[in-house]
Amino acid sequence: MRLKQSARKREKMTKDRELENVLKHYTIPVINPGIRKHQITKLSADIQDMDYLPPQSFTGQLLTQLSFISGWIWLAQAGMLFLLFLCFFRADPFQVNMMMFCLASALSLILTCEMSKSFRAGAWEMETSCRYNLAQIFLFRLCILFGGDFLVLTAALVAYRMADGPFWQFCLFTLLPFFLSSAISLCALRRIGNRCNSAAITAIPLFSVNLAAWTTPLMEKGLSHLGLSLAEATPAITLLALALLLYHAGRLCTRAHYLSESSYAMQK
Amino acid sequence: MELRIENLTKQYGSFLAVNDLSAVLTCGVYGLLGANGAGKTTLMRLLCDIQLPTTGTISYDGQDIREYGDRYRNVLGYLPQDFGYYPDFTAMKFLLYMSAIKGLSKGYARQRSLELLDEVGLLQVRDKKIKTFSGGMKQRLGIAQAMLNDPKVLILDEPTAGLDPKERVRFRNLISSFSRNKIVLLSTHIVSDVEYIAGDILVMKKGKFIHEGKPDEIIHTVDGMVWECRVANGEVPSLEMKYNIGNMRTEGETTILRIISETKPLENAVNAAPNLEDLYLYYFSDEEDHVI
Repeated sequence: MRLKQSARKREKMTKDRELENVLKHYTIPVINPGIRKHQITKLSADIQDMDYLPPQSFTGQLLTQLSFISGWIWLAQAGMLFLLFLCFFRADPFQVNMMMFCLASALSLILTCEMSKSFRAGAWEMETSCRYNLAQIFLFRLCILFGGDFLVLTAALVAYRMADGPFWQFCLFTLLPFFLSSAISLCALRRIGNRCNSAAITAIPLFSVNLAAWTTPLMEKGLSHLGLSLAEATPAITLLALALLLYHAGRLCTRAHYLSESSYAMQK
Repeated sequence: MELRIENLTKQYGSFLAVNDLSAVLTCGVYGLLGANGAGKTTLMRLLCDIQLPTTGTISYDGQDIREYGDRYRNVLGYLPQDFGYYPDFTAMKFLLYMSAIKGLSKGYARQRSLELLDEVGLLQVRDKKIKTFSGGMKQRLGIAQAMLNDPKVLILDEPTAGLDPKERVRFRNLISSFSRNKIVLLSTHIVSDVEYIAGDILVMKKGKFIHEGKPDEIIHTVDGMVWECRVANGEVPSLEMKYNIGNMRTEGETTILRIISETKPLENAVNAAPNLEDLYLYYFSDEEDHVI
């Protein structure tokens, strides 16, 4: 064992001596002090950034933001699903459609309340000045909330289909009011910005979802003039409402400045 | 490190909130002094890229802050005048939330939040909801969030509003210890705060800087305009109507007045050494009330 160790040591020493002999033929390069200083500065800055500002993936930031979404939202959604499944199979078709309509209103209301909380709390200005600014925070929140809504709506659709409800009625009583009222709310939020008021922002989805309900007979009448039935046209109209919602969501999440200046000008 | 403001203008309709401002801010504490409506908040919002200027540019180390984008926001700390918070968050959760959107790593965020809560005297109540906090406590929490990312540019809009004298002293010390190698700009109309901590003062009126410089230099602009005199108590109301009175102290049947006037107000008036408060009154006596 000892012999082996000393042989290894001797071998290492020989290698070191060989390396020294090779290096003797080279001169140490002179490093330009300017380049050296620049490299040190750059590396120091990089190290400082790495220390507490690590690059974060979109998913990573999304998961971080998940813990800051109001807890009542998940409770409300779970409660809604529970009630839906509890009552669903005992109700007649009219009651089922009404329940779906209420579900759409509630989902839209939840979305609007959570999306507007920065403005309502007055934290928008502080958030705008952060690394992930308000537009990005809106994007994270929308992704999380749409994810939750997708799960709830999918569960509702499954239940609806199990109760032999036609897909177009699901679109008419659930998806269309939800998409439409959410689109109107996000549009309003983008335009109202920092002038956002709790009462107004709650009223918008409730009003628009009811507007969707009131206009259904008119829509039916209008479609009949075009030779179309509600069953034929509803899925397409729902898709249009979805496109509108995505458009307004996109506009909200890409805006650089949220301060409503027109009101400010009037104040001054 | 420098923050350069060049020909900055912000117009709301026909109202000029910021009027062709130019300045270069380097490391140090700057106090922005002005009456309400002078354009302080608008200037701060422009510096934080919360608003777009009508004309002009703001550059950080030679690059436009809008082009810098999130890299600029990485080095920025901001406390707005209307500091909003989520009432259901605890102080600790709020700082962790702010750390998350400032892009700080979780471990660092926790450590830094605890450090700052300790510095602003909120460590004991870190698990209490913000809605239970007093105004001063909320304000201290706001100051803590602005410092989370150890910003190189710290902008504080009325940071001492709502703080009691003890808290204001603590705040001054905190800023003094924090400001080394950093640009700190704080706006206030509490003159004494600026006097104690600001190395440079920017006096703003109607969207323009009317004076810039060290406190002592600026104070000299009102040399010979501050007077002290003793008058009978009955004369005070008429003198109040006529002159800009900075201070009055009643002593029996007479009152000692401190008058800010370009000309000698009374025969027995003697010149007094001016202070920043006199300067404020000289420039802003025609504007809204302030706190000294």
